[in-house]
Amino acid sequence: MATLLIIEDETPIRANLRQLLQLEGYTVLETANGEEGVAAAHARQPDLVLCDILMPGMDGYAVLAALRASPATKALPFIFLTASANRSEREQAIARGADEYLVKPVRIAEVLAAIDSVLQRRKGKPEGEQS
Amino acid sequence: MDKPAQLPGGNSRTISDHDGLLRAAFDALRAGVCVVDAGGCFVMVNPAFCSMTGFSTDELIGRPWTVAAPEEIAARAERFLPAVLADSAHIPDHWKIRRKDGMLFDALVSFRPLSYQGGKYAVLSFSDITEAKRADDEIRDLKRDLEHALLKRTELLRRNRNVLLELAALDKSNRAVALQAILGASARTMGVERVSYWRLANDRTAIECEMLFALSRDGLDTEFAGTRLDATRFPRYFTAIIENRPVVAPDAQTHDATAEFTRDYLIPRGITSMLDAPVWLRGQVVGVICHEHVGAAREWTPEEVDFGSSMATMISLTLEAARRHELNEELARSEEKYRHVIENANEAIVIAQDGRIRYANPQTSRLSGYSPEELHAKSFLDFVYDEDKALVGANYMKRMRGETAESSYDFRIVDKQGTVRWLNINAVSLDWEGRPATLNFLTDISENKKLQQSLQRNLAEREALLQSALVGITFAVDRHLTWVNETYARMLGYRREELIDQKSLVHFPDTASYEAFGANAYPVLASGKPFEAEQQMRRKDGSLIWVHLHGIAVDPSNLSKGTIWTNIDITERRRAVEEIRRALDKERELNELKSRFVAMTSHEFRTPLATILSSAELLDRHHERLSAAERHEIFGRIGSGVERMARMLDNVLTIGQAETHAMDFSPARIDLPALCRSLVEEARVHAGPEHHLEFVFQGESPEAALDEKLLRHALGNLLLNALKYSPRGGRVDFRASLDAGKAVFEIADQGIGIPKEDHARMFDAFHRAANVGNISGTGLGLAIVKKSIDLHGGDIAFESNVGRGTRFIITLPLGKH
Repeated sequence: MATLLIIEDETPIRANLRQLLQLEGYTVLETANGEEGVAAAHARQPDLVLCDILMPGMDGYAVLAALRASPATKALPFIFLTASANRSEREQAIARGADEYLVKPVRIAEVLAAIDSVLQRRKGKPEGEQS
Repeated sequence: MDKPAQLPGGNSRTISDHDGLLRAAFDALRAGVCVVDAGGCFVMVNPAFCSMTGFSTDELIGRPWTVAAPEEIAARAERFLPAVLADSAHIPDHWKIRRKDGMLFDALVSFRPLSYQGGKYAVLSFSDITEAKRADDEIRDLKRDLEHALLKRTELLRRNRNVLLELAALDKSNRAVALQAILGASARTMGVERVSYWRLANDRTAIECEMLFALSRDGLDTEFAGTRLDATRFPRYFTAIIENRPVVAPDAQTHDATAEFTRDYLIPRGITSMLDAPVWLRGQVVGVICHEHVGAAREWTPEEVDFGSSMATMISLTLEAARRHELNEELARSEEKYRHVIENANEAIVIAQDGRIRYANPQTSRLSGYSPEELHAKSFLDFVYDEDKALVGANYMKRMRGETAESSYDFRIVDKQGTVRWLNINAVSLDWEGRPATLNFLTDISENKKLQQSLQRNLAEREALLQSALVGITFAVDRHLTWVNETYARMLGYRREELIDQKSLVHFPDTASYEAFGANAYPVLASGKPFEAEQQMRRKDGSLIWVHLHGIAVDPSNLSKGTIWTNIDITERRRAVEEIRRALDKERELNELKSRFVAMTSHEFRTPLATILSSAELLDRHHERLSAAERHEIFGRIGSGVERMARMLDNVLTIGQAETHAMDFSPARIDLPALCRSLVEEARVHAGPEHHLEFVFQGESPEAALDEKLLRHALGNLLLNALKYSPRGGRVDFRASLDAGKAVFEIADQGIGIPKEDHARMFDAFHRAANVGNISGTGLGLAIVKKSIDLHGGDIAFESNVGRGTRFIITLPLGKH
């Protein structure tokens, strides 16, 4: 099973997500802020990142930019999981290189489908190619 | 004297023997003296005799006395001497004495007999009278010359006098003719080649030749006339003329006043001598008569100088006479002109005296229908309409008595056809043939009167119309109200009479607005366009109203003809507009509030909802795989999420109540220190060990009535904010103090601070500072804090620097509520 990295400042949400995904069989890494998230992505090379947008310090967009800027993580599948339901923000996130944009509150089935879909899409493409 | 004279006849006695003194006297005599004996020979001569005759004593003694006698005497010597000796000779006094050199000289002679010691002698004495005789001759010649000269001058004076008399009799009314006669006469009389008259310019800077008479051509040199000489070039000459000094220059080229003419004027024209005399007119030098002699230089005799001056006087008389003649002619022309004007005037012109018409111009007859004879025949009041007789008569009498009377007024006459005509009269007093009279100008204004009556009717109608208008109407001249309608007066709370002639400043709130209005309006009105504005105006009671003004100029090219304004009170309309605007602002604010609320709920509510949903799903999907502890924790998360949402809803509700002034305020006696400590504890639990919260309380708790719920909310919110916006490890200080009837709370942090641009809106609902970044929040906290403090009648303030921290200070009065 794939290794997922959760970057989320809200502790309860992060804990619930970790448990849900672990129980679904994923290996789950987690960090409470952006800086730690980018470091973990480089250090642990997860298969996919689930990231909040609004966080103190480094926000989700900064994390995405940092990952896309690094050769080691530039092709890392990336899903935003955010409380911002704004339509324009979703378009902006996809334009910046996110593979998927999920709005809280979201059902775990939807999260799992998105993870699955992104990973499947990535598998069908040569390494290094972005969506 | 070579040696002493000797007596003849061998008598050797010398005179000195007899009387030395007598001899010395004889020798000292200035007259020539000799003694001749009866034989006619010299026996004694004195030195003067020798000196005068040129003979020596020796040459004479013993010689016949006739050597020195004139020939006619010598010829008669034989008879002459005995007659002398007998003292019977008739001896002439004057002789011509012959000198040794044969020359004769005049002498006064005495030849007397002398008897001496029995002998007869004759004593001849004489004195030289040559010089005296020459003087006599000269005096005689001089006298003759003098008589001749006197005769000549008398002749000259007679001639000059005749010339002057002729010129005096000359008709001087024609200036040119008279001037030519004077110049010609002067040239001929004095024999001067050029005689001219020069006019002095009014500013005395130049002279210009008006006329030059040339003797050689016995006429005028018209080409020379007009020649101009400037004072700057000939200053000495001008000074002499202006100071009224005649210039008598026998040698013009060296004379002080004329030498400056030498090179350019005298030499080219061969002028050698000049005699110039200033010409006066009414106390002013106006010109100069110039006599310019050509040929050998000549002296000017006093008579000529006098004559020259007389010519100047003659020119003065001519100028005066010519001017008088011109004035008379002008007067005659003027009289003719005025007569023509009066005869053809459109106005009737009448001179009245003694109640009768003394003169009436033709227009008077045309106007009245009466002939001049008919007009003269009756009293002028007979022509006046009965009702106006008293008015006209009274004014006439007043004027005749020299009292002030109406100079212009209207009255009626009845013309010959019986028609009543309106006349306007302008009358003045004057002296007519030595007695008081009135000069009257009469204009037929019958048509004007008809028009005036019609106009008055129209005006009355228009006045009624304007008065009843629903808008205020004013007519202003030079920003003074000259007419206002009733509506306008009412609008401003005045009576109409109070406003007429008032400066329109009276309606403006102040001088500045009055001047600004004028500066805006009058350029527009002068351009011919109407001016419109909404202007605040002051009513009589001081209250201000808004008025819509619309003005136009009667004549844009001349604003002093007045401006017409319509005025509509728009105070109510503006109030309504203002209310609508305020309502719209409120609406806009509410919309903004709604938008912010939606944005906030979108984000802030989704986070706890996500916790609740994910917790529920975890329990639902993996209930059996979770331990009891894990399940408990997950339920706890659900609880926290719900509480968080409830808190947010509370805040929204609270702010909603505050906005509608429905916030609950229930003050009660509370234990303030305990409340503070409780809040500190809660904050510490919430913040965890990462922050340091210090609390200090000063003073004793008074009996204070405060709303604990609101206060808890306010202080708790500020404490949580201080922690939330502080870095990890940051310190927060909370101070509470009670004294002098007030409670002061200070909460200071070392957090991110609030940018200055946000200070003003920090207490607005849903507003968050620009630098909050991703720190979550609803933007309601401080709004609720402010409302809570406001309800307590307290005050909240803050000071903040970005990056250094913020300090909130709450001051609450501790009065009893």
